Amino acid sequence: MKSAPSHPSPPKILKGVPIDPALAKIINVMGSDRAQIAIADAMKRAQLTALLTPNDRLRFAVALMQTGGIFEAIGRSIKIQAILHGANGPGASD
Amino acid sequence: MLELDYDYASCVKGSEKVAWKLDDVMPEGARLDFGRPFLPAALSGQGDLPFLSAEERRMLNQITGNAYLNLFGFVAEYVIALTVEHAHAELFGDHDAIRALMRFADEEAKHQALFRRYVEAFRRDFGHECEVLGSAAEIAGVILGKSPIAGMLVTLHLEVMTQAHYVECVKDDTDIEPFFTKLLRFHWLEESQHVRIDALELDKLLSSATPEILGRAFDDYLALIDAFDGLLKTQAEMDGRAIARATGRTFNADQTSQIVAAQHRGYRHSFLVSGMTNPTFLEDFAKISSDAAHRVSHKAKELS
Repeated sequence: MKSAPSHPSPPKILKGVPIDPALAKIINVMGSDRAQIAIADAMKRAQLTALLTPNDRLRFAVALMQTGGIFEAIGRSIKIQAILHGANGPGASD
Repeated sequence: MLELDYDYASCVKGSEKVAWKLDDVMPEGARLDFGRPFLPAALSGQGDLPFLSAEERRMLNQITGNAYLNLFGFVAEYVIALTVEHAHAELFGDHDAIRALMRFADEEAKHQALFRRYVEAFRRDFGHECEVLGSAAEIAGVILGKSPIAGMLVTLHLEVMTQAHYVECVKDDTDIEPFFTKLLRFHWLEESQHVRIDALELDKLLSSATPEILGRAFDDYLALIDAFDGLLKTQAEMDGRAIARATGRTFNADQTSQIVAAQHRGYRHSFLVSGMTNPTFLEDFAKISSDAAHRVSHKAKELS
């Protein structure tokens, strides 16, 4: 397992496209390769193809948290960030 | 949106530069000088109460000073919860933001401990019971239940207000109790970073806010101002009872009503109007929405 960078920079750029802050958290902790797998898995479980709104991020966070372990901690942080930005869908008040 | 020219890293540096220890500012057992007023005239807001003697007016000023600091400790309860929540949202992301927010929360907890220590010293030495608002956790729940942008607007309001109080009213007033001045000075030192962090957090929330989210946030902010005003009225009524106990006098209904009205007017001016009319705060508000800034100015006039 790759260790987390000591000073992860906020939203990273990949192929000229800004990465969503929610996904950047996973990449910061897990590294790009492992993050891609975890992101794809959570996106599939949340039935999402992109993170466009705070409610999308909330759904993604809830799905990620179900993985457990460090993903649960990352998911909880993404969930709180989504709620602060206006998410109010299922899971917001849990 | 707010066009800020600082970042989280500079807030951390500023915080480290001015950091202080609780025991250095207010050692356990510190004594207050009850021969002096605690609050400057601009913040005590007693108006014209001709039926009080000079000594009784000073006692009312001290009662107000005690309530003033208790109110700071009171609001710190929700500010700590809010700041920790914002820090949690930054985990695994921006480390500078996490450090700035965690220091902010720690400093607020320290300020709360400082105000509690002060209120305890007051209770011990004033010699008469003074009621103060005590349901801080309940109020924190109300504020945290509102829109996150509204919560951050209220926090920014309170922080710019405390800055203005110290700089404009307390700093150069040599008549007021020196310990009270010292305490507010150390509070001001750390709060100056908090204002900047509030603005950074607010800016972040605004970056993705839809018109609906913003509309709800402005409504919530004004609703919280009204709720806060209700609390200030309750504190004013408590002060009315406290001054009667402290002076041993029985005020008639008209006199009691005048005392409560004067106290409420003073608290409104200090905690609500002075924040809502603060140029920095209004400027930020206008950048978000000129209509909302107009609503805030209108509300401030209504409360004046």
